[in-house]
Amino acid sequence: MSAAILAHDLRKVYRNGRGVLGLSLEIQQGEVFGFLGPNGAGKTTTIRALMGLGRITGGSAQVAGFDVARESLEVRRRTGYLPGEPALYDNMTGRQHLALALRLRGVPDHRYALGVAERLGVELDRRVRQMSRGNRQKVAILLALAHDPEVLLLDEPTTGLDPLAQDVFRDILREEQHRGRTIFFSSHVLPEVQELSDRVGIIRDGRLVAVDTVEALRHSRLKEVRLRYAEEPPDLSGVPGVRGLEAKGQELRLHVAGDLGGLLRFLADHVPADVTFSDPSLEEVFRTYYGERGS
Amino acid sequence: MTIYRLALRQQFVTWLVWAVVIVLSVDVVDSAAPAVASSHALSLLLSNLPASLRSLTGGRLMASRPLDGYLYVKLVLYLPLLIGIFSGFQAASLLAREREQRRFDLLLGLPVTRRRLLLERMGALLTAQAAMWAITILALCGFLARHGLGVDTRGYTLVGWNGFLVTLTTAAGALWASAGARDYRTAVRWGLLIAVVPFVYDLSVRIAAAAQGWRDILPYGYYNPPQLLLTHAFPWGTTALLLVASGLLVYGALWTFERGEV
Repeated sequence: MSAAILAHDLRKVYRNGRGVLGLSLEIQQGEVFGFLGPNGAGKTTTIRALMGLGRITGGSAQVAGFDVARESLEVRRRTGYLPGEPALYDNMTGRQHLALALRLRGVPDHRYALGVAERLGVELDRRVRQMSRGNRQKVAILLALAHDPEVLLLDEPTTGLDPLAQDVFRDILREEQHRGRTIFFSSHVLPEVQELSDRVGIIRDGRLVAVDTVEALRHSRLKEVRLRYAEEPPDLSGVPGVRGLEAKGQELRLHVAGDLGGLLRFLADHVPADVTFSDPSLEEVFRTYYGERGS
Repeated sequence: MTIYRLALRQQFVTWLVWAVVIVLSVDVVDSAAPAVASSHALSLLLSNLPASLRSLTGGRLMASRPLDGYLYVKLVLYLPLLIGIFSGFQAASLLAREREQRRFDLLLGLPVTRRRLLLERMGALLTAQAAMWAITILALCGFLARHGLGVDTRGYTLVGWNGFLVTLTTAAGALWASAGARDYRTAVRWGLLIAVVPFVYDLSVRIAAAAQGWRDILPYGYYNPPQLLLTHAFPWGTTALLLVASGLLVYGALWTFERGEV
């Protein structure tokens, strides 16, 4: 299986020093890759750099086998792109947007696109200025999918969509994956990333701080621990790796990042009446990466 | 040509407004024309004006043939300024407005080069300019015919061509100046500056010159309707100069656009 997206030390640094600061990544054909990070972490910059929309300031990247800096036209021909804030033309209808995109892409057959539009429930004959935020987002998604691309680069795709439309969109993505399409998408909706992604990347301050499968991230990074003591619980705040400590009467709830040795040694001296270990959700994993900044 | 058509579509309302403004202006000029044509007092007033003021109000043409001169002042002499301001504004908006509204993400997410994007959008602007000049010249000829004056088709076609070239260069200058602007307001400010400053400079130079001799005001210097109407000679020199200047300015804008952020 070949790499559909390949980035090596990719840099896109703005004058204020922010941006993407050396991102290396390999995403295989047919893989769904979720890209996580809060606002300003570099998600949109990464996606735009992969589309060849801005000049990269260092490193290199390939999408669908083409260099994003030197062969960006070929990249864009084979890629479906959904911008983070899609700006459509207010006085045009969805159908006119679709016709424009397909004409510029040289796709004479509109049947596939119209099928996607029907499934998404796009109001093709309504002017954009009369559309709600969600319906505009549907048009933008349609434009990304309309030419049946090899690779999809989607920036916050479900923003503004109602729950039913989100379900349809997820179904479409799963089908695209089964058809061998590669999907790279950023999202704030962590359960959605957890559900759809084969692998997840977490970006922080322009650097990729973790890349792994959802399961591996959940297992390796963090454990959720619940302790119940018969008497007054001990103070665990100094135990290595312990964070997010919450006390409720004689019960304690905490997370342990990395090595469990410190906690187990502490518990040998302060034996609880009951203890449970569980894997956290992706959301909790994500929070530990970003909680480090706050703590 | 798809982007060209899209850009034309975006400018459609402006065209429509221009056509309405021209028709209304001609109507106003037309309703005032009989009074102007038969006004002995006006002719006397004009002939007694200082040279510089006479230039501002239509010069020789106004003094010798009041109706023709009146029309000339109202519709021909200062049109490049109006179309120039419009063109400067539109050209400055070509890139800056799309950038500000993040529409380049939509357009450049498609397999379209920046060169094609800029040139087709500029082509649409030129079409709009040509249409505005055509509407204006047609309205002018209609007015002349209505009042039984000879319609100088070749003369006014040359005036239209000359005016088009001047506004083309203005648009190219505004495009070049605004290509690297950081936001829409800055870009528009540049565009308007490019349109207005040469006009004002030219006007002041000519008013000063008129005090020393008998001359007409020629906005932008390269726009010379009286000479074209008089000689009917195609302005080869002006055409070559303004086309080369426009080409260089558009190339400069392209150079900036291809290397900048979108």
